Amino acid sequence: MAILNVGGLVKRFGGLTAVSSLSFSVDEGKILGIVGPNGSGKTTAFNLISGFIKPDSGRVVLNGEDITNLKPHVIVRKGMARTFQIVRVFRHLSVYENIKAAKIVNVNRGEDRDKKIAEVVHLIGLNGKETEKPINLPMGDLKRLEIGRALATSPRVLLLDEPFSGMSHQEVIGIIPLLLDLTTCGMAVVIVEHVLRELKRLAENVIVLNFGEKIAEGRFEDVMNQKVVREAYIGGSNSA
Amino acid sequence: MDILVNGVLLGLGYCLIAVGMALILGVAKVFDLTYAIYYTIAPYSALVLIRTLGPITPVWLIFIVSVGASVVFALMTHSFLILPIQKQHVVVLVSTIAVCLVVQELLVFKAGSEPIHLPATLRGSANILGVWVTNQKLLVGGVTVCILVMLWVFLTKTRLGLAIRVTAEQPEAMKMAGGNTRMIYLFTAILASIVASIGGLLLSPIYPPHPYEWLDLLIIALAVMVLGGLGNIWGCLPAALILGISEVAVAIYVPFGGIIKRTVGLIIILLILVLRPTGLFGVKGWEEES
Amino acid sequence: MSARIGILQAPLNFFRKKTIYPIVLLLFMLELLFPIFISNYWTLRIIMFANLFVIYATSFDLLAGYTGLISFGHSLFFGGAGYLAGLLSLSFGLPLTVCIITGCLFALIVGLLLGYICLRLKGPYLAVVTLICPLVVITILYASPTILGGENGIAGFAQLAGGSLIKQFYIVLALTMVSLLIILVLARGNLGLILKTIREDELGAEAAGINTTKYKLIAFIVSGFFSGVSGTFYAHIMGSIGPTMLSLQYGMSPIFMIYLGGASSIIGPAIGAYVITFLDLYLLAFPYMRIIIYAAIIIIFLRFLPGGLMAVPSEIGRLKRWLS
Repeated sequence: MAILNVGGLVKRFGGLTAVSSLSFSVDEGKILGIVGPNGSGKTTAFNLISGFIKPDSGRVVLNGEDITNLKPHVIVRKGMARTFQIVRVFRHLSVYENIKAAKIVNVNRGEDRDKKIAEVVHLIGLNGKETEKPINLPMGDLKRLEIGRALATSPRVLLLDEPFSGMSHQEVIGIIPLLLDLTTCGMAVVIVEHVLRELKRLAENVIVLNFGEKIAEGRFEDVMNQKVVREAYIGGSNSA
Repeated sequence: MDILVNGVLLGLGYCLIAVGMALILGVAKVFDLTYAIYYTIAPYSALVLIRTLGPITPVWLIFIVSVGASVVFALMTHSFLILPIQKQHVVVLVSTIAVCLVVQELLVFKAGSEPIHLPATLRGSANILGVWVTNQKLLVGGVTVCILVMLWVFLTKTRLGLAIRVTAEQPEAMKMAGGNTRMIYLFTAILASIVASIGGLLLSPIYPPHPYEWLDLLIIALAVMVLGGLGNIWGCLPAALILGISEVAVAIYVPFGGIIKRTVGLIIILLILVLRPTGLFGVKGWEEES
Repeated sequence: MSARIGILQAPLNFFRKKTIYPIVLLLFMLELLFPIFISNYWTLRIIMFANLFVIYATSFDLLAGYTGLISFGHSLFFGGAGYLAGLLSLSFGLPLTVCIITGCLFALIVGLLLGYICLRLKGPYLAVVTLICPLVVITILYASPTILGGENGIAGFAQLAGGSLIKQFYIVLALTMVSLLIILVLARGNLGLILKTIREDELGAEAAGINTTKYKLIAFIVSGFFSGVSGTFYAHIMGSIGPTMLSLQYGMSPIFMIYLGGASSIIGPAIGAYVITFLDLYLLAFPYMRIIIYAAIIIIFLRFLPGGLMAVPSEIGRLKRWLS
């Protein structure tokens, strides 16, 4: 059952087409990877889907509801949360406050708020660091915190924009179980990533973008072996 | 016709006021509000000089000393106050306003709050297109044009000018190429203060300087910059002309025009910033990254 | 290293605990006794004004310290509401209470409008727009000498409690206590937290599901309202009001107060309000030095002590550790 359906998304900036007729869907409990060389429109796609940029045309449907032109915070309330390529946590607020802020505006009926916050902190593995501030934490923890903040909104779909960037190999290994756990409750996860080796462990399916267009789709191994995909990457690094 | 000639001359004067600040804003990316003080320091220094040396002081000496005082002031504020906190825009704003207030009060303390009078550089008046204007105003207009031309030549044709433009666009690239951005910023400040102090001296016979003028000057400079596109030096000219002509028109046609005309600038700032933040010829955002 | 740069330091842990409420209440109890022990008319008056400025500064802290929207034109609310109240009293002879309430409601509405205008503005842009709004109003005032009093302002309208200092003192004290408590509760509760997220990272806040537009407007409205409260009472105590109340002087004072005391802590600005009001008194003897000293203070504080007076204990601790 597809919980997220993206159809024909287009975005142009002046003369440049950043995203061209992008369509894909994600099922509940599944992890989808989005890969592609730099500048292929991955982050723009995320911005379009999560409401931070308005698409020129196309539709985004979340759980059967058209969310295409809604504001980001409304989309979050409807059940889709995201993280950013460059971590955007609240730097001068404690870990606990970071999560709490997101929880306050996303309370579900009959829920024990403090309990849920503690759960999220535990889930992201930041127990004991509740009073720490992001300025004192390593990048791996910051990434976890941002994911935690997204989780506090009780999303059905989670968009992760390069969650592994800036993390050491150790940190990446440490975070994979967390991401795998998320799907067991039916959450759909879409990951934009460059670190392909680890992505392989997470995403059964991937789509490949190049110059804003989807050039391949399918299971990870099948897609990565396709000629057009290899050329995109190699050609991409030439023109970079 | 009356409006046109007076408006254009006023606009040229406004351009002179704005261009220095646009320079600093475009290069160092700071809203240096002490800029307005450069205009005031020059005439007051001139006054001190004339009082000490007597009324026969040569004009060139007056200019050199006054401009020099302004340059020294600019160097000190930029080195010690502004550059260290360059990235924290709001702190720069608060601190530079504070400096303006300090200088204002010092001037009131030492020289009183009444406007001071300096002799005009050029006496007499001339008839332009059927309108009588003072020669001083013509001088201001002429000097503005000269300064703009010289600035253009400097920025486009010299190596230093190129360095400044590069620093304005890509400070990081400049640093990586081994350029000393701090020196560039200071040089820009010096340049701006020279322009501003010359303007201040030339404008003082027309608009007698007083300690509280910094706010008015800032509003004019901001209105011109905002209209012309923040960070865009060349946008200042058309924007200033528009402002000058509108102000003269308002002064003549609108009731209470004499008092209201200051509001023209304010309203322009408001409207532009809210409706079209990039101004008429908006340039690369002097914007904070989102 | 980065902890020093942020001018909006989070409040000290000491003041974060619930102990702040009893302390505040205690201080107010103390002030209740002031009129009994202090017989000097002027001292009482100064303390009363300090209390009014506590409301002004703390409400400003909500907008500037917590939400990060630093308005350079808060005198618009302070003076604007005061002017309206004074006008209603003078021209229409409306009872004092009506004037004050109308003034405050006016400030609330202006807060909404200004907030709406400033929604998409950040940092310097916001500063410039908010700076010139009160100036526009001043120009309008200057241009209408007959209706609005022009340069000299208006005078002779009803005074609070008929001019009795003792009564005024207690009214203002009660007002300050109620306002301060309300603002404290708001700031330390969920609203404060959400406002802080907007300051920290607006996009991140949106991504957390926070309606930044709504909360920015709320910040403007609440802040404007309480500033209007302090302005209307100030006007009615003085019995007169002039364009100075909308000028940069009153626009910069809340900024001085919050950075002197420590922004984003409510208590810091309250302390700042007292310090500056008393400093004002002592510096009256040196009119020119006043601004110079404030300006010098603010420059030094912003450069070397960004956390304000509230940060002094922790800075001392840091110094001790550094020395040992």
